[in-house]
Amino acid sequence: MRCPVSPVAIRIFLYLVTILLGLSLLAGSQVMHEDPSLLVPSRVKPIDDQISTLVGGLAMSMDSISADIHAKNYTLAGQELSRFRQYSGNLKLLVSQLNISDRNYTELENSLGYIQSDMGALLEYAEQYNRSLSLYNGSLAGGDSANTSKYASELQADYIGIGSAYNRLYANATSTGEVLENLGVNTYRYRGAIDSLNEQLNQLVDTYGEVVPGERSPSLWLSASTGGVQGDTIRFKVALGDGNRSPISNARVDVFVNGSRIGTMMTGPNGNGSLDHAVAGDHPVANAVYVPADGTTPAAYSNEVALPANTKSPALTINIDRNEAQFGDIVNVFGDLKAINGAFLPGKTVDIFANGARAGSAVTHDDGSYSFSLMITPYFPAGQCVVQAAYQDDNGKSLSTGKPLNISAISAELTVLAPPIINRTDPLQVNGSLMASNGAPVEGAKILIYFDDMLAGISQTDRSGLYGLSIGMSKNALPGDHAIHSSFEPGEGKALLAASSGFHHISVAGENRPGGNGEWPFIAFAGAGILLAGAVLGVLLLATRLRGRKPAPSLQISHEVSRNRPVPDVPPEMCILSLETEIVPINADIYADCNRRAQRGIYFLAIKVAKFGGVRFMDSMTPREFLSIASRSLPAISSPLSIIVGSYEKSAYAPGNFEKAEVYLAIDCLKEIFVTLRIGLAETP
Amino acid sequence: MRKRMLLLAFGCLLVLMVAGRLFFTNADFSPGNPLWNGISSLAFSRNVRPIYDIKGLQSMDPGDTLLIIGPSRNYSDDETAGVLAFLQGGGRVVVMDDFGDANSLLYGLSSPVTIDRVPLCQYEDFYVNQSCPIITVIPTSSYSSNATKLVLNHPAALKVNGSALIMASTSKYGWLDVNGDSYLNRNERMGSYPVIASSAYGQGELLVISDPDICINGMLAKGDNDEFMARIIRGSPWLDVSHGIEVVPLLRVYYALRSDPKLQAFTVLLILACGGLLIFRRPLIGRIKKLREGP
Repeated sequence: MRCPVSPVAIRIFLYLVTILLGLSLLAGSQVMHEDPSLLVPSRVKPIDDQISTLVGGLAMSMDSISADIHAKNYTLAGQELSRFRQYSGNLKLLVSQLNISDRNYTELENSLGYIQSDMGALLEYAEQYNRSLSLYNGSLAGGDSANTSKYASELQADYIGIGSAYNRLYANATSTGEVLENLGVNTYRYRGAIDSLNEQLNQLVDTYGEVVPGERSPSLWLSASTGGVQGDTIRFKVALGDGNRSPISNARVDVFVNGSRIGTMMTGPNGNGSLDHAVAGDHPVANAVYVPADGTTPAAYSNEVALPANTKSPALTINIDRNEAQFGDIVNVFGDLKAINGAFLPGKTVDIFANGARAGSAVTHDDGSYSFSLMITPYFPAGQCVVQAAYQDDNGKSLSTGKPLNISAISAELTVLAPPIINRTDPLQVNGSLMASNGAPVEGAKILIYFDDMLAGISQTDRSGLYGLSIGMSKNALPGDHAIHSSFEPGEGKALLAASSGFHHISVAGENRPGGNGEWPFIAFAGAGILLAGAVLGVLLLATRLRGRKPAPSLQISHEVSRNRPVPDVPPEMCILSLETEIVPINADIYADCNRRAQRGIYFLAIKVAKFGGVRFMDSMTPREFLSIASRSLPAISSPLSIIVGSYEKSAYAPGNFEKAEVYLAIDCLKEIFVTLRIGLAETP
Repeated sequence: MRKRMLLLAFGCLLVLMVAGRLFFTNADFSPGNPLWNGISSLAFSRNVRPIYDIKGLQSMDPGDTLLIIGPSRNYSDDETAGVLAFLQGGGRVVVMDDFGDANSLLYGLSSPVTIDRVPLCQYEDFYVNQSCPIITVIPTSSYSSNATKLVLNHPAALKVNGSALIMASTSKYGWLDVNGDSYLNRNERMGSYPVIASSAYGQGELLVISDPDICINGMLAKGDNDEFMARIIRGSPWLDVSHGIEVVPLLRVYYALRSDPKLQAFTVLLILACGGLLIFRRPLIGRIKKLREGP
């Protein structure tokens, strides 16, 4: 199939496309950005979750190591220790990427290092203990008293090592938990692991008991649940074994607190026994004694366990570091909380009040002392004030004590700032500060902001004494100068006196500058341009139509013309054509020997005449269509018109000469049509 | 007939292509770029006008705003002096750049805020990935409502030395991607890095934003970017196009027609003259012929 577009045109098109592509090349750019619709998602877990997972992993590892050592599965314990190191390394890396202080990071790094070292030592001692125990038992069975004694000494050393490593591990794990908590990490799982560690520590004596060489005296280990205050029940547990670490069952063990026997328990098949008891008194010490019923073996005395402090009737004291203060000062309130016998009460909450209003609370330290920083706020009452400390024990008994403090009122300076010029439609951003006369920024003060003496809004100062407010401009705010000011009104008798800023003048611009952005003039211009272009186009079209168009000659005959279209029954207009006048140019063509042109002229004249006779002619009609329509409308002219049309087709398309005789014949036919139509017209009423 | 129609269609296509190329572009930050990396939305919605010579800021009012977006050429001393004079006269200059050449202007202005050209990411609170952090503009700043959240696209960080007001920073999980691999590596630490800061110059204000992409078409609708842009524009906004931003020829004509009433009037007269000539060409030609032929 032949391409309808010439190769030259295609080549030009390709050249133009190349030029356009060349024009489209991007300029050198230093921009770094991505199409937001094509971004590749980052798949990261939130930092808190990651830390939580790692800390959970640490806890799980600690737990597993302890359990494996307990089960004497040292290989698994070693593998778990490697996992712990991995968790620890990842945690340190993640925390190092957080914005924490070097001190905090070092503290955490050291804590984790200590735990690793303790667990390594524990594993080493446990393995060593196990080896020594085999050797000891072998020597004992073989009656090798020298080696028995030697291995017993090693066993004793390993036993002490296990205990001390375990105690260090517990202490360091607890300390690490505190470090993590200080970093804001959720240590719920970690704390659970530490508790589990403590449980296993208590049970470890079952696995790694003390061996005393040379004696076959039984061993007794006492442990007690920790935590609790006066009235709480403490569970005492014992583990009783003979000189060969075999459990002694069904034995009677007495438990003593501060030298007084509080109860007796019977050991079970595994040598363990327990006793619950509510202990009163401060800092009691418990121990257990096993006296064999048969009297053949020596009695066994357990280790001593210190029980938690309890309280009866505490005493609360209060002191303040000054007698006078003003806004911005920090008054140190301190004192201590002790039991009636002078024992310290740590971890208790002491509430601080100023003139009866609660100002905060403090928690007592290990030595029973507490301290609180009392801020003198702007709304603190001026004059004589009483600072009180109050404590309520678990039984609901309250204690309180107080000290007088004199508060002097001082003045403050309030400023207000705003942009010098704003648009009427924009919000007005007002900023400012409130500073006390002693230079302290005033935090938490409510600032009233006025626009032309009308309250426009209320803001509050931040830690730096700064405040800010965005005021929506009223539509009634006329363009021009306006004044804003602000005031601080704490009320009568407060530590800070009321303050008011000076007036700050601003200028409100009117609507957007007319035409400043070129909007309305441009729209008007664009509208005018479109109208003008439309008008010009209309005029051109009209002019073209008035000029008329010649039908293009064609050999193609369309069969789609509506042949059945009814001819309107409208009387033809009066013919005003003059054949003599119209035929003049045709005669000129004949005279000039332009027979074909003359024949075309006759054809077009025939059309004109037919149109005057009421035939609806369209430019798109072929000569044959015209003949068909005209013959149907005016059968009387069918014959001469067919001769004109035939001659016209011959003149237009047939090769060779076109004789004058044919032109003259066509002129006669035209005259006949003309006459016929004139007659027809004359007959029309 | 059919061939003529094809040629006509081909011609129309060519005209459209050429006209399109002369009116649109795909260059970064161009007001004539309707694609994701252009600023046509901002330019047309806020009536941003281009300024072709930064030295000639006299046409701007003191209450106007000059936008400098991702410049890719250094500012000369004369240009810096022009910006400084505009600032001191009460104008607002908004410099939005991450890895471009805006520092040449900031150094020239002795600005307390400069741009640290290191990619800034945020480990949490981001749009799709860490290179597109979501930051909160400090509510007390002039350009923020209660919670203005901006979505950035590969921003840099700001260095603030001296008296400047930091108006927006990343969260504590922001980090500088020193090696540019978009992954948080061993030596990359998290922290809060400033991204928007302002400083006063006389009665004017210099606002530095470490990401020009908050105003591109692809990002303008993200978060409160559009609202923020509306807030930072005061008076009439002008765009410095003399440092790498492409303004295509027909767009230049458009802006010229849009802002110059004299040119508008001249164009109307030109159209009228051409239309008149077209309509009355025959009588005119006839008259000219007669004049030539003589009486």
